[in-house]
Amino acid sequence: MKNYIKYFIFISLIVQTSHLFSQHSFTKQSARIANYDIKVELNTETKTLIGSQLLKWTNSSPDTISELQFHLYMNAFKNQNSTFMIESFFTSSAFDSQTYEDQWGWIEIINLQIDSSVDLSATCKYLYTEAGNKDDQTVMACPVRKILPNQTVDIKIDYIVKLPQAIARTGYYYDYFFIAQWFPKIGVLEYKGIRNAEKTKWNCHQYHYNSEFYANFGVYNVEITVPNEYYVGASGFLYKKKYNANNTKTLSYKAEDVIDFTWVASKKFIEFERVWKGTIVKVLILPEHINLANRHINAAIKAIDYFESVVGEYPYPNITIVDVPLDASQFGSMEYPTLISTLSVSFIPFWIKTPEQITIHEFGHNYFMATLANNEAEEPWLDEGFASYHEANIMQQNYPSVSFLGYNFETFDILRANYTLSDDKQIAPINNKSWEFPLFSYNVLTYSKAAIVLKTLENLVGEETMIEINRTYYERWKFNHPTAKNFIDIVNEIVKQKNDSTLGENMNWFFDQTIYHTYICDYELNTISNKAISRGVTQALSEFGFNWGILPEEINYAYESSVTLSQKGEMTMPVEILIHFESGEEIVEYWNGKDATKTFYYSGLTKILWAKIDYTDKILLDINKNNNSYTTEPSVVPVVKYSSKFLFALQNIIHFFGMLI
Amino acid sequence: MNIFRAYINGFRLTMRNHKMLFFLYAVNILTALILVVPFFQTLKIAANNTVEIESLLTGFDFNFFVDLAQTSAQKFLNIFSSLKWIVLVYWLLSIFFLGGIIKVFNKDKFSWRAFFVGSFKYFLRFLFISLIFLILQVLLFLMIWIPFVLATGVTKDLITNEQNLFIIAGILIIFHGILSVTLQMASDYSKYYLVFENKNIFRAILSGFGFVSRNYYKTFSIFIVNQIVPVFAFYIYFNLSRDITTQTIVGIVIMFIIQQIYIFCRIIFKTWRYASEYEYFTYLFLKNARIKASRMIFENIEVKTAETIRQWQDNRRKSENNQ
Ligand SMILES: [Zn+2]
Repeated sequence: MKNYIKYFIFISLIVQTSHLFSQHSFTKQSARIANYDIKVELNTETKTLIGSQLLKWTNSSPDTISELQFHLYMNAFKNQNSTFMIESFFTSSAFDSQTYEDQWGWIEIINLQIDSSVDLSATCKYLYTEAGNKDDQTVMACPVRKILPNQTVDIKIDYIVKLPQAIARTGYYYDYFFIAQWFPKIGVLEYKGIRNAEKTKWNCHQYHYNSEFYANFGVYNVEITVPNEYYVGASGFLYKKKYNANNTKTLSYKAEDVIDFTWVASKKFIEFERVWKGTIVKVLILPEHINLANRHINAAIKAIDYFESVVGEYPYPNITIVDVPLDASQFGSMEYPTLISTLSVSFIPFWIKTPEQITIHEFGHNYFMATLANNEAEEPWLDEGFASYHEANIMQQNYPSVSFLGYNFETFDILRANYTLSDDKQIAPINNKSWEFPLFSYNVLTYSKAAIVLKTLENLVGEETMIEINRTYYERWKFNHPTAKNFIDIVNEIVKQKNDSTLGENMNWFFDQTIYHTYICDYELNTISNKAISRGVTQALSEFGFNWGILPEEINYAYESSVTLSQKGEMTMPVEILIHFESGEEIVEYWNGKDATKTFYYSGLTKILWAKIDYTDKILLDINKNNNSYTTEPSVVPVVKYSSKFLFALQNIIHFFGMLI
Repeated sequence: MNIFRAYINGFRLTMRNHKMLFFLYAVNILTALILVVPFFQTLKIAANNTVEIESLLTGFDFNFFVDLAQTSAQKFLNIFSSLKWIVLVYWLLSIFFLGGIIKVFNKDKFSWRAFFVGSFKYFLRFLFISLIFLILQVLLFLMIWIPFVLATGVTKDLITNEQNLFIIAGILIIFHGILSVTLQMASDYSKYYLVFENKNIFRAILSGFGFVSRNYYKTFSIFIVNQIVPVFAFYIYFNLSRDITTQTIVGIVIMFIIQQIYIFCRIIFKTWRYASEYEYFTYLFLKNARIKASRMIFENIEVKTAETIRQWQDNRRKSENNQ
């Protein structure tokens, strides 16, 4: 640790930030339905947590209820029979052997009281109806005496958590602890008017392999007790520190208007901090990645600048970026309110921007997940797709693509290729519930395809309109639980204001095709024809200085030309076609793209040389842009160029192997 | 002989056989063309009449190649998967012509006859040696990296912090490189032994190892310098290639010529490596042979002298007795 003391001194000299918290005014921003006061102690030897929480929960529905539902996420790692483990059979990130009892994790409720009632924990039952898996213990339902509308109850729960060995975002890795999805978390009681709910009903899904989370907003007061030598990072901010007699310390954190609370503890963290536009950006880095600390901070700053300019003000006082050991990558690249985890590799060169990319993506989730708190389990594209779309925008704006031996590509190109090169492009629609995605399609659809759908939308409506859409969406739905429909309504509203006739009455047609269906978009420019007529006459005329534009119609035409286009997929998009004539003249045609084919006719003294559909490259969803254009004079030069590149590469490869004799 | 001498003589030897260099270059480009011709045709057909391909003139277009997959993925995959056969063919050809290269080195003047006679004469035995050394290289790889992988599973400190892992891997890579080069050198010198002493394969390999171990620093230096010089050549090529724009056919042709010159240089460097090794080997080999020969002559003289003396003594005794 000694080596790093100078960094500590350096940092504490530059930034004395604790006073900033007292300046920040904490007005109530959300409905604060589920508020937790938690006392938790980490036993680093037994890898257990002893927790005691007082949950102040309000029945915000218009109905009297007699059941509470809780997520017990840790039970997903209790044995091979949980829904999570069954669904993750194909991946090595799940445990591959059951030989070590130590690697499993679980949560056990010792005591559950409501408004000082008797212990009700014995009456609680595990709910398994959703996946039909009787062995799943990740959702617990407890019958209670009636809770009236608007009534707030005190729910006291005592529990023990055994942490699993690093798996799916949580657990321990030697003396590193990433403590996420760790406490009994009440489900969301939805009622008519909340999201898509028809009647009052618990929304409390089992923990699925692909699914993330959904919870009400609230205030979290968490007192964390750890051995003295551990550094802790947590959601919210630290406001009290107390050293105990038994060589432990108790750290008090407060997080307001958040939907979750996550914390980490390690002996090795080194802390870096910078204040940017009133937001404290903190990095807890492991010694082997210390050279990356500034890269993470700078990336977070770029993200703050971007989001504040195109979406809205960052809603929290701080953000903590947490480094994870490479061998426990299961903890990495994860987002929680005001705490994100990244993923770094020692010696990663400056021109590989993955550390930046991950930090930017996860930071974006503090808008799309933490503040615009969609149901991540039911509509995962609303957080992953939006985070990926903004991440790609930030990457393209801030980090020009690096060229390796002349080969380079942009972030959106990669996202697009993820989709267009996937085995089955029609495997599922984007708006699926997270556990309904067929094997391996979750990432491609909720991240990549959703991001290019949003980029295509941006290209169609224009960047300015898109920013207005983002800002309105954020302003109207922050600290709330938006659905896809809420977003689409805002798109329709803003686009209507813009009065762009090419886009139609509303944008439902767009989302219907891209989000709710699996249509393929593939425009093709089939052919160009130039038919020459009465060459002699026109030749003569042109010599007298006539050009085709001013020729009277009754005079012989030089060329009768046409351009034929078709739509090979089911998706229709409005497109603009650029038609280039031999004379250098260019015409832009508009096509609503609704028919299977379309032909444009021209006549004049000049012939068409080439034409291109979607010539400004708006439709990223088009799976083959090569067939969007057609030239009557194809050039073989580029083919020669790349063939000679290929030849040179081959010559070097075979020569290399020819030396190993 | 110092290694500088070996380089100079090796370079002269290489250049004296320039006809052979052109021939080896032709073998290289013709082998590569087996795949380039279908690549050219497939790319031309796949590009169809698209305008997008024009973007390849100004630079690299990731989307163009990604979208080729929609129509021609299988055709390109077939070409790329044939690469392994081309590599195998060229590997065998390289072994085949090595016999000719050594034979030609041994002549005062270049002759095609010697070149092909040498190629045929030693091919099977050289192939056998190369295969044995290939197996040794694989064993070496396994011996270094299997313990490494196993150790990462056992030693907690190794995996909790990948920095240690990378440093140890880096050291192992250097270690592996040195041992692998040693094997490569032993493989080369075994072949010279096979040619010069007409030994059987296993004796030749043993002699090869013996030679390398007796003259380790010199053989190693000869090998390494012949690896470093091409790196400079690549550096020059790389800088040239960055400055040349390939947007027109003229630019493409100029680029093509530079690339082919670079490949020709690689052929020269490879031959030069064998030539300097050959110079060094034959020098020591002949020196040893001379020592051996002169020792034999000396021993003969001694024997003869002893015999002469004995005869002289005998004769004297006889004449004394006669008197
Ligand atoms: Zn994400």
